[in-house]
Amino acid sequence: MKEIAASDQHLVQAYIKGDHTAIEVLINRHRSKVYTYILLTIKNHPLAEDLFQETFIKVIQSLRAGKYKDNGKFLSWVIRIAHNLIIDHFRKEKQMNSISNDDSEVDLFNSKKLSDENIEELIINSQIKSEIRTLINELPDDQREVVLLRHYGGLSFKEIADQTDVSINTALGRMRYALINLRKLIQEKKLSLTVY
Amino acid sequence: MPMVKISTLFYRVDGFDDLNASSTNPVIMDLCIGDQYLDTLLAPLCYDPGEALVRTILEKV
Repeated sequence: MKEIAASDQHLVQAYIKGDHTAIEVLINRHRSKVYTYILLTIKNHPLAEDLFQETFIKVIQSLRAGKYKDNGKFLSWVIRIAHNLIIDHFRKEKQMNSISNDDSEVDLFNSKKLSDENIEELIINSQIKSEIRTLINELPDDQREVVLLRHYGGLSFKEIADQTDVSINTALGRMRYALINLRKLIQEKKLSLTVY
Repeated sequence: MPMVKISTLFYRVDGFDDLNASSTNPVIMDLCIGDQYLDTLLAPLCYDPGEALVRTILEKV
């Protein structure tokens, strides 16, 4: 019989009631989105790993302290926590411009045994990833922020507006300009972002 | 504007012929199209921190 995956809401409640395996399922379910969001914002793999850990430690502590108000948007809540930790980090460091732009795509090649075909596919995918990352990095900070919060966190524009301390219209406008800019960049660079 | 199913992102980008439109263009304002565009564009952009990092977190708390 096919097992139906428990909802985030169900897992949160299970964890609060003492089922410690539930949090592991939740973290594993969302780890890629949360990590990608942090990495694309912070642009540094080791730092992203630290903030990823901090984010979920805070998530767990908040759940234990009964601070989570369940509105069925667990991932959005986690992304907001990550966003706040990133802001805290930038405030502490005050060196936003000196953050390195290291690309650790090379890690991919060490992750598993690969056949020649897999390697070729991996290289192409890695190239596509790199090109898309370049596009995202070329967006102005405020536009990139809205794109990442929307795509990886699934935040509504009201939530994005609250999170970034702007009006909803401003958040919508930033998204609009981000989409225009992305498409212009794709055309200007004549990028093909698919594998044929 | 009705949604058109298209198979590749490159074609998708070409399919939207409103690059010279003003920022008030209702097509770009359409959130569904915007979300779908981002879903397609950013789909390959996914980084996995790995299970080991998750285990590290669970050991810490």
